[in-house]
Amino acid sequence: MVKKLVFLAVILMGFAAPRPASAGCTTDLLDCYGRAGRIDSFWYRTAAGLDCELDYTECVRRRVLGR
Amino acid sequence: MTRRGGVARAVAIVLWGLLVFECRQVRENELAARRLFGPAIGHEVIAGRADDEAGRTWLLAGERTLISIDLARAGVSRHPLQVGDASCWGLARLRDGTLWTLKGRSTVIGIADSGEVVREIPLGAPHFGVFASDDRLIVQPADFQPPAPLLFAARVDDARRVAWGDLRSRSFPLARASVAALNMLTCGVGRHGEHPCWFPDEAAVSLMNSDGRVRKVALEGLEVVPPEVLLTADNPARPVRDAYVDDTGTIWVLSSGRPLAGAEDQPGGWILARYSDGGVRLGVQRLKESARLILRAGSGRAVLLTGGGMVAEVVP
Repeated sequence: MVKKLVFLAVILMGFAAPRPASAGCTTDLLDCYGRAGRIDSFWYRTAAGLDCELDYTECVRRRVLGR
Repeated sequence: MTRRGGVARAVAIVLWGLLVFECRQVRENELAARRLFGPAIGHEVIAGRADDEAGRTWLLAGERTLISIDLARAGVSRHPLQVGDASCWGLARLRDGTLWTLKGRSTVIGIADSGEVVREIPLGAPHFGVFASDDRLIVQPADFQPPAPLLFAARVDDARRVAWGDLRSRSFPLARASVAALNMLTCGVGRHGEHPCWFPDEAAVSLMNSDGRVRKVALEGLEVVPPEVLLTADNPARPVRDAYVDDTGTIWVLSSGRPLAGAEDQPGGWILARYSDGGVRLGVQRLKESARLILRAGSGRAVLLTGGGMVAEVVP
């Protein structure tokens, strides 16, 4: 009985926790870094990496600043 | 009764007690809104907000649509921005009444009430946001190396930009892009000489005067999540979703909180909190319907833009 109640409490707490992003900004950033990393030229690769970071901040901006 | 059965019964009683206490507490603090008119907006992200002297609130919705809400006339108008496929962020209104937004990453544009672009000013580098103080445009450059001045001021006809105000970017033991994201600033409306601005991870507002000097006010009683959770959760809890300083200096705050059981899934926050000018908590109440913006506040009441897009009034 005690075990069942503790299990139930743990499940209920799980529902209250924030859900992780399934395919959100962070996943997009990692994919973008992967594509940038395959560019041969150092300068173009660096610029592409910076672009990835700007894309990421725009994505996060919508989510955590948008009202 | 066995000893095991007794423990189980005691645990069950404690859990039941907690449930009853929680339910009663929520019911006592629930705040219902009286609908005034609408809907004024759909589920588009609100990317900017500016108020004018005529009492209208201008919103940048969905990054490409200008919406004006006239509370006195209970009217709403929508105008698409003439920016093609570009996205815009932020809405700033200068003393002369002109409206400005950030188009893409590197251009500030002046826009007419009709959504027409009337002026373009290239910034020469990526930026995160645009604000206004009197006759100055205040911009936030995309800075990945804190600590550094956060805001820069420029006049429309002068290309020079100078560091403005006290706010500086903050350091975190996180990746560069995450640090940049956590340093992005949002500002609300101030009717008492100071504008409330806030970072997405903090339960605090920086009250900024017209010279950019700030005093930070901590807001106790609001839920805060760790920065890593804020950046990776689908629908992260944000301590401050909107803030409004009324003409007596009372700070009204909309916070994410948690929806009531069975409430409709709508964007916005579920907690309306009030603090004194110095940060003393005056009241924290849970809304029956989520809210996205504080359109007006004062004299003990607030007009909100609800999660369903309606304009509604609450009396805490």
